[in-house]
Amino acid sequence: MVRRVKTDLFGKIAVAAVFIITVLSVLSLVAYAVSGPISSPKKTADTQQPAQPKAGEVTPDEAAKYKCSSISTTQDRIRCRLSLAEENEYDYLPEECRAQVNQSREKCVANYKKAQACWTSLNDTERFSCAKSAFGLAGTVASQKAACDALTGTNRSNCILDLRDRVDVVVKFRIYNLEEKAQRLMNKGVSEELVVDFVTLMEKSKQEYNAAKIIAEKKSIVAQVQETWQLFITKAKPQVKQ
Amino acid sequence: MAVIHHKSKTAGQAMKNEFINKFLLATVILAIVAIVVIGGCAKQAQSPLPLATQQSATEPARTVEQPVAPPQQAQQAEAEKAGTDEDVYNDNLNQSIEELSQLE
Repeated sequence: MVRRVKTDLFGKIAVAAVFIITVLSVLSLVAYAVSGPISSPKKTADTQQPAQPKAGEVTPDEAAKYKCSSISTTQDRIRCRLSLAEENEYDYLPEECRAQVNQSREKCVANYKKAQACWTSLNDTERFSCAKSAFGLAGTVASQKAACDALTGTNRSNCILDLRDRVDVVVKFRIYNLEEKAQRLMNKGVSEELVVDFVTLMEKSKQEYNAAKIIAEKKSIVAQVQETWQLFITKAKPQVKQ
Repeated sequence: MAVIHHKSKTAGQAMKNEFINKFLLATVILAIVAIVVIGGCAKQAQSPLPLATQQSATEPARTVEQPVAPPQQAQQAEAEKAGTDEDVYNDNLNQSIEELSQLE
């Protein structure tokens, strides 16, 4: 009888032990599944690709690729860019793109590249027409907006968003055109400091434009750019050598 | 007594068998649970930071992009020759404001 009781007790203890071990195993495995292995952060760091650049910073690859990009301040980078020899003049990362990250930076650089051919145009009218064509903005914005409005639902909203994007790059192309005009005036005797200051303000304006959420704000930024240009011209004209 | 003893022995054997069965069942359950959980962990461990990995895959595409090429001096000179002074000093940004207005 005592032996039976003993065996019964032993059986119960054994089953309880198996149950406890099972529960503990499951709990520890669940903990492992949730938090991962202890060594995983090190493993991840070893296998990870180089860190993504933060806004305003460049990767070591970009620093090696783009001239002037390792300089810390915008103004000094612009001064460096303006002093580049002609053959290296285009090997830089546009400031506006530098302020962005990942896909946005790629898209920004691609947009600059898209309008590259337009700089061979002889005057503003031709250059703007070329840029509008390069960004798919042929015809008036009003006509393209009307075409979007004829659509419905998400098709309409996507069409309008796309149109806004294209208008934005053309607007910024025109601001960039002023930077190029200023640089040309530098070749005619306008001081480098005046041009550097102006280009720095233009780059800042483009970044503010990118951050603007509403059209009224964008229009206000363009109006400010016009004022800044007028101030620049007022100071630059007396310096132009005839 | 002998019969009783026999019965007791048989009952003990049955309990033993019952215990072995329970033990085996628990082991099998534990093994299945362990396989499922370890499988899940392994799957998770195989794909750490999937977003970062995907972005890394696009890294070369970003760095090979060529930046803008502003006008070369020869082209500038040609443009200036053909362009007027008005072109040089005019901002020509009214078109931008007009286009933004058309978007409203």
